Amino acid sequence: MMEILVTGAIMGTFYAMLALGLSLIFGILKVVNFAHGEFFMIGAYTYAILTRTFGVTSFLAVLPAALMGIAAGLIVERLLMRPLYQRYMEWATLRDEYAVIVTFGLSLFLINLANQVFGPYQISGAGLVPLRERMQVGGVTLSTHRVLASILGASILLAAYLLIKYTYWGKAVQAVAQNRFGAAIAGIDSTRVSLIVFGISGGLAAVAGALLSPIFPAEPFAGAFPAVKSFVVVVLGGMGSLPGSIIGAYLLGILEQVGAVYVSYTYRDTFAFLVLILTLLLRPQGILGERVREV
Amino acid sequence: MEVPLLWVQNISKRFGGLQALSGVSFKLEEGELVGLIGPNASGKTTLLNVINGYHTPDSGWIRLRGERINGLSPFQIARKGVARMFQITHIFPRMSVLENMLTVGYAIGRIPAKSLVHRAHEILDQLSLRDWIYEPAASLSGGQRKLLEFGACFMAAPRLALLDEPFAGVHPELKAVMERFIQSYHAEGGTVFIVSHDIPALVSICPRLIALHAGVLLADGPTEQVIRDEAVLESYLGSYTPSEV
Amino acid sequence: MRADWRVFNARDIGMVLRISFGAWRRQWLDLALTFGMLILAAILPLGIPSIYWQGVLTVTLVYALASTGWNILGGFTGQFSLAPATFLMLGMYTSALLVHYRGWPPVAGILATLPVTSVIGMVLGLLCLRLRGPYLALTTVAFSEITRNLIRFSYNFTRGDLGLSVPTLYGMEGNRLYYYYTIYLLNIAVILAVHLLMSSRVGLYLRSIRDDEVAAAGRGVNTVLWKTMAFTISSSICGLAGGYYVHFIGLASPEMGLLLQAGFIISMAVIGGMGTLGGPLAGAMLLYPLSEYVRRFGIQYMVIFSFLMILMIRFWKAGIYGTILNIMDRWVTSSGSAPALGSKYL
Repeated sequence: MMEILVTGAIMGTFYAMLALGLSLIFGILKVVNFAHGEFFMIGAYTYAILTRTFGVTSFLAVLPAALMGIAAGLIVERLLMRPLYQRYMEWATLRDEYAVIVTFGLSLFLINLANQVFGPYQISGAGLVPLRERMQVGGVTLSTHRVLASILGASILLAAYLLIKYTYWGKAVQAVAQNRFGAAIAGIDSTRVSLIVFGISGGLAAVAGALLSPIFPAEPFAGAFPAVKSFVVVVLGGMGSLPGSIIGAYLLGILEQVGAVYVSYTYRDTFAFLVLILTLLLRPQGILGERVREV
Repeated sequence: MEVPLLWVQNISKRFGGLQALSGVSFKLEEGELVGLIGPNASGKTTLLNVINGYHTPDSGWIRLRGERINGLSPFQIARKGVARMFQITHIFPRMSVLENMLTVGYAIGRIPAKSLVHRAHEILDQLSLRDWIYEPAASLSGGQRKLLEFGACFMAAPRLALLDEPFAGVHPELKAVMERFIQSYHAEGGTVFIVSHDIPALVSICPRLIALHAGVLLADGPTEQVIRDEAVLESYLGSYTPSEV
Repeated sequence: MRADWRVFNARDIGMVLRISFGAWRRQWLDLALTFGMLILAAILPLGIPSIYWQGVLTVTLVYALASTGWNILGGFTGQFSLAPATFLMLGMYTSALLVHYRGWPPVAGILATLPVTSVIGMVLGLLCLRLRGPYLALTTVAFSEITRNLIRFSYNFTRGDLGLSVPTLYGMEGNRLYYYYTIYLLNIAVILAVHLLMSSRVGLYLRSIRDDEVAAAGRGVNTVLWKTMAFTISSSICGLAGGYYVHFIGLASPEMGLLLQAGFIISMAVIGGMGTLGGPLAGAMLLYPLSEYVRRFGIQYMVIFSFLMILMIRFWKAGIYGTILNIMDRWVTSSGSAPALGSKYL
């Protein structure tokens, strides 16, 4: 039982890193970024190639991976997300289809681009420490890399969370999420807020990709499963709710482990989708989300 | 006694900690033209949403010609002849103006399908939208969209038209067009229920007014009497400024 | 009584006819243009003696059918399902399993896809009733991944990733042109059916749901019924395409249900023109042969098409076919104000 909890919590940390960014983007733009898994993939590739091909020390290679993720986030925001809010009225009814198609298209584009450039091969990154090392956590034997990676991930997650909760720009992000027009009137530059949000979420996803790349090697489809799971997490926790997405991430991480151990290992990746469909049917607003008025 | 067209009895609605409506009751007779006034957040739009079926009331019931309609879904209520004009215009931007009108006509089905196109033309003529009938509704100006929404409301010959702020942000000329339309519809025996901040407009066209304040029905009666009612004056008209709209 | 509005009388029959045609003008124009393309498609394989390219054209029309199916849901009704490829795959397996285990003839298997996939589509539609935009897209992704995994891992029944091989419709040595003209006729039938649907009141309902679901309900449109209907029709068309496809290539495999395939089908509709009758056909006729062509140079075709899809939705929403239709529409209408290129009907 302890083993399930610890393993689940480790995966939960990485889901939380992805879900936090997704939730931030949903908060300010009210869209789901279907290309979120590709930020993860970019991080994984950067880290894996730097550590394997160029022999960079693994702790140092996390930083360029994060930078690549941030850059990808900024570029995507600048090139594709602007119409969602700059021509707000005109796009009012179109934004859902625009957002779904553009981010879905971007996801396919990046996957196939990676396939074109790197080929369909797996490149696994080097561990933070040699992957064979083991350590004891609460009576469970785990690979030291996993433990270190999840601690590093959790501290970055915490830092990002505190940044959003307590700094000026973080407050600006919350303001825009609550009321775009109100925030604009109060003098908040929503363009910059949106850039910041995409930067943060790209960076978090890429770091998650980098830290997981020794376990789940970099490949064109590397981002697909983490991404869909983080979608599930965001829906489970409540769209746009940051604490909700973190709680949801740990919950899903543990639920999956329970499912894999007690129900079926083959279908371990399918439980997340069942959770999604059940959530949408039973409590569409998620654990901590709110319903919005439509009329 | 004849059954009233709309009979709202003891309707309450709560959103979280906010009591939006508490125990609202009134009746609308066939062929009446009634205005609903009240300050912001007094529950006017909520009341319309409850009548339309977008919200279910916590208590009370609503009857249309004696038939209970609360609990039905919005489209069923619309088909019983309750048309709604929204405060924020809800037109179908990527359909042409004519298609916008036809959708309502077909969906509600109170008018023979053959005469729908004809009726749409008549209404659009009166609202001076004739030149735009084949244009996508997205290409209309803000005021014209409001007119289209207004026209679509009357497209299916509703038994009861619920207009939410029809005059807000509309050019005086267009406002006059709308007022004329409402009055001629009323003259032909139609029932119209208007929610508006525009007291002068309501006073000039509605023989009867209902006043809401904080979800409570303050006054209900002939216009002259309601605008002189002390409670109404205190809660609303006293602080009313024309620029509020 | 209030319903005493002037019912149409013999005197202004001409005017009413003119006006009625005006109301559906765009739909008829769309049909005419689509038939222009279909005539082109009828003679195309005759001019191409290569069996390989005749096969490519056949698959093109399979994709065109699936894309037309998706267009009903995504283009006309505004429900962004990312599961068209899943229904294609379900269609393939419906027919393949019936033929394989029950010994049905391929034709019966193909016809059986219609009821089976429409029921599955209806269930998915009912699941998605209260969802819109991103939530709906997410649920359909979940649905398609669950379905694909179920088929992959039910190894004993479906042969999993190896695929299930089935007899082809006209046998191995059958003339390629038979295959081509069969799917061609299916396309014509479906296009006519979609035209009839979209130029009736149902077309108005579906498009009003796309534009503003809340307002549509407030104006008497039974959104529950019509959304479910759109899901049902759309999935059964995708399923039909799949049923035919499996008896053309002779192998059902879960590969077909990848999100990549969904992206391919959707990109056809987007590049051709969403919400038009002929857009998906035009998109398929452009994209599929092109994908076969660039594949020779070792290029991942989806790199190009997904990039094109992003560019189109960003800068040119009407799509290629949609723009041509808009220009024609403007000629016919010739009303004073001409909107900017491609912006009409967005």
